[in-house]
Amino acid sequence: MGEAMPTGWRRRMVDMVRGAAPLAGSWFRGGPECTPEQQIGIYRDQYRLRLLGAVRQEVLGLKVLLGDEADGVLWRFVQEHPSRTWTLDRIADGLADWLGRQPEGTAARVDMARLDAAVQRGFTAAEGKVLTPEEIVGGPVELTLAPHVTLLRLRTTVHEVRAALMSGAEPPAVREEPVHLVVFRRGIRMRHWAVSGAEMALLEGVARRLPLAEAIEEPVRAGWIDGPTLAGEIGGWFESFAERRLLVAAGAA
Amino acid sequence: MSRFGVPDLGVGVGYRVPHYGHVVDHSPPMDWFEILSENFMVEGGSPLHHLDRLTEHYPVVLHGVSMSLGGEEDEEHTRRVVALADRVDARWVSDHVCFTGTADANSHDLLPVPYTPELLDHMVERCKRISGALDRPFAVENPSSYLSFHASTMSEVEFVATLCERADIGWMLDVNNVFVSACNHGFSAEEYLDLVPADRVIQIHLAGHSIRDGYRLDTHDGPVCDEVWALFRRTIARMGSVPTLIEWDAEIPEWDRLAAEAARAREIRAEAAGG
Repeated sequence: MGEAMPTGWRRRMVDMVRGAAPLAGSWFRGGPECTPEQQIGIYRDQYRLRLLGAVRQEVLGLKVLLGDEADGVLWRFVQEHPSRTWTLDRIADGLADWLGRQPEGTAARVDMARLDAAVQRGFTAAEGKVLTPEEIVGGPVELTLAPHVTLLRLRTTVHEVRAALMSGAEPPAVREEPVHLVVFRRGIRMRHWAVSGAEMALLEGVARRLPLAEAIEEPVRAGWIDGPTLAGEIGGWFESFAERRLLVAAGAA
Repeated sequence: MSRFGVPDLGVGVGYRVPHYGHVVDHSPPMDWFEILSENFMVEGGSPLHHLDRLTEHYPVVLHGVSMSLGGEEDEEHTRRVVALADRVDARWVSDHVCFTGTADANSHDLLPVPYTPELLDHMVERCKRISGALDRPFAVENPSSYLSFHASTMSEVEFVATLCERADIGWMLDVNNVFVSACNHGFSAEEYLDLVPADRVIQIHLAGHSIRDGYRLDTHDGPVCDEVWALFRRTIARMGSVPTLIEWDAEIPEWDRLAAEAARAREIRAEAAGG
């Protein structure tokens, strides 16, 4: 009783809790039925349950593709990437990049991790000051994507699998083919929309804050479409973007 | 009775995702709601949509789990709590007597601190700063704990009471936590509750917990147990009608079952306060 705590005790205690240091009971009194090591072990058990539960909640698509490997892979990620913030909401940030370097990181799984992350990010993002088609072409407003929008160039059709999983339908088999996907929020629900490579190039230009005239040229410059065809399509594209509230004023986003 | 100028809101429940739709669409009878601050410290989307609908009809109180009062202050976190409290016109704000991690790793748990003069000084200053940033009362909650420190030189009830007095803040008294910790550490819950300064208590928490192999775990996954109801009755008899909240955060039941638990608390509270 009354022994001073050593310097750095908080860090050492957190390391014990998250399994980065052996359980050491010398600081703890023990209880009527638990040894000191069992007591700190309760916190370690709860840590694993809590963080694994949180990351599973963020990767609803990926955990299905991982199947029986899910807990093992996700726990490895958590252990290598300790949370440094107060929120558990973004505990899986960085998972897709990490997974791409792991033996379990197939193209479909990495794609699904990116899609899961985009959904998670968009779900609680701000709305931004949404622009009408007239405001978009009327200028001189600087455009950008709404904060809830993520553009994904995928190598597989995991978006079809995720949509089926979310609706309770039997998921289709994953196909390997390029998919240009816009992930966005409509009201309070997350959506995705597969667009052409040309539309994606334009949206990517907007995301880079190019002047509108330059962003419109991006699909041609990248070889996705020729100028005359673009001229015939561009009005309909912007109507679709506006209807989905994808574009906002940069300063007010 | 008014403590720190807070009204007696009656008996409320936590605002949880499975009930968002029912509460927003039907505005069922309930005295007030407590929200978990962290669930709403976001930029937009579903959480804030449902929060704004809630505040149109009910008084709201903020309860947090991540201030880490026994650790280092995150000023951005404090700013977000203050902004959220202003947004919902929170009647008061609370968090826990604990630490949650370090700059290198967050445990996302309410880790106990040694009850020493050094920690007391640290937490008094943390609480004073947070209380000063808020335009409303601030209170600290006694945590459930599964370990205690050889280094502690005072009891938990002595530590929290002194903290509240020196920082001039309220006590968010979790009766279930007192019972869980009493079982885990072998002290008397009744004696603990008798030492709580009644004039500091601005809210009571009630919740269910789990019995594990050799200890009790604060799981909030079931109804309030008989022993905790008895402690609640005893506490109200001594302190009067303190605003009371039912916490049910896992295995969340249908709204009617939750409302029935709140109704039981309301009935006991009325009986005990009048007796």
